[in-house]
Amino acid sequence: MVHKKNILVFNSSSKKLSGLTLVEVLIAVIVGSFMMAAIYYAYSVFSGSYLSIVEKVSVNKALRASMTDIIKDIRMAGYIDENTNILNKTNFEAIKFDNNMVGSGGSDQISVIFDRPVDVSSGAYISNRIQSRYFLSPMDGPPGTGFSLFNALTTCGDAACNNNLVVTPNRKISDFVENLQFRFYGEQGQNLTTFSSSQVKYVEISILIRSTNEIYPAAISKNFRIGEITIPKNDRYYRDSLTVTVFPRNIIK
Amino acid sequence: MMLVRRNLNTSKIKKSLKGISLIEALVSVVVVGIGFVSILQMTVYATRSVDIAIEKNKSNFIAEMMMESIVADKKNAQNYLVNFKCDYKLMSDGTVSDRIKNFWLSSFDRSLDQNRCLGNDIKETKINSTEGTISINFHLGDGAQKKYLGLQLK
Repeated sequence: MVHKKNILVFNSSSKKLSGLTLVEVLIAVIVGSFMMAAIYYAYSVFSGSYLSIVEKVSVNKALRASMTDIIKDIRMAGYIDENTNILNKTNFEAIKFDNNMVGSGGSDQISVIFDRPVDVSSGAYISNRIQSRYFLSPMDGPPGTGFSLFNALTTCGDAACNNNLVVTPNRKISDFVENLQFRFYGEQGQNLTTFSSSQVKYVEISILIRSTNEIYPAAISKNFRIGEITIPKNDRYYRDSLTVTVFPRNIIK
Repeated sequence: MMLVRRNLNTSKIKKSLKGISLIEALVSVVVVGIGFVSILQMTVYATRSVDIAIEKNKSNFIAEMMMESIVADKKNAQNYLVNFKCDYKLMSDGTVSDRIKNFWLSSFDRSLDQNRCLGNDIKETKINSTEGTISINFHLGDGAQKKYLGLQLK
């Protein structure tokens, strides 16, 4: 009964209650389509922006972690602890350098030797002489995936670390490292190509790292200067490089 | 039920059942569009903030490097007094301090984004021999983002 009454009321009311015309529906569809297009565009912009930020932060984090570790060890190079367990304390090359390593994209590797305290439960203060090596090694995956930066720690059996007592597993610091270069400078700021570690006053470190995913909509052409080499790149990856010099203050001159 | 029936019969309610006009719909679309534009600008701002943070982070490393270079040659600390603007050029390479300053220039050039070096950007050292203090001042982002690093030499 109620329904009937209401229907009667509607039927007897004005024409405007009859519903939407075709034109109104079409206009609504067009306006709705504009809205959907705007939402899709906004989504793609937000998504791209988010990916870009995540990748940039990730690359910068890797750059910072890599550089911090290398700088810390180079500053320690040549440090001799009074309580070292090495009998012949001196006469060792605190910095060993290999230029243009095969299998690491032409990158360099560096090994630094110094004494490091050991945490012993007895409370006795003992230091081990260790060799800390930084190098690039191909990442897992198809060729061309990139390189990872590794740190290998070795407990030395003699002053020059020619005999190794303990070799710890390689520690991965960061992925997608494209190049790592070192340059060495002497007391007068002159470039040293061949050297004894006692001649080294400054070590220049350069690292180039790229993003895991492509973030740019189109290929970007840019040259990166790493050490003495210029690396041209033309793709959609984000890259960041950092070049700093370190003063290895513990090397006895 | 009586209430419903009475309301439906009034002309005021009939008017309210008309819905929104095309003009009203378009106005609402424009208002929502303005909202979208402002949110899109926020993403640009977020990306730029990250770029600035990365730049500041790298400037930390470079400022430490500059400080370390001066400490390594502290007898000649006064020779490292310098103010680099965006149009800096390599030093003559005649003295140790000039070579070191060229290292710094090389680091600026390779590590910092030169496209964003603006008129008021500076990278300067301040050496006070009397007090034995060294300051490294970085002004990036047209001078808006400042970074100071100070050290007292023994």
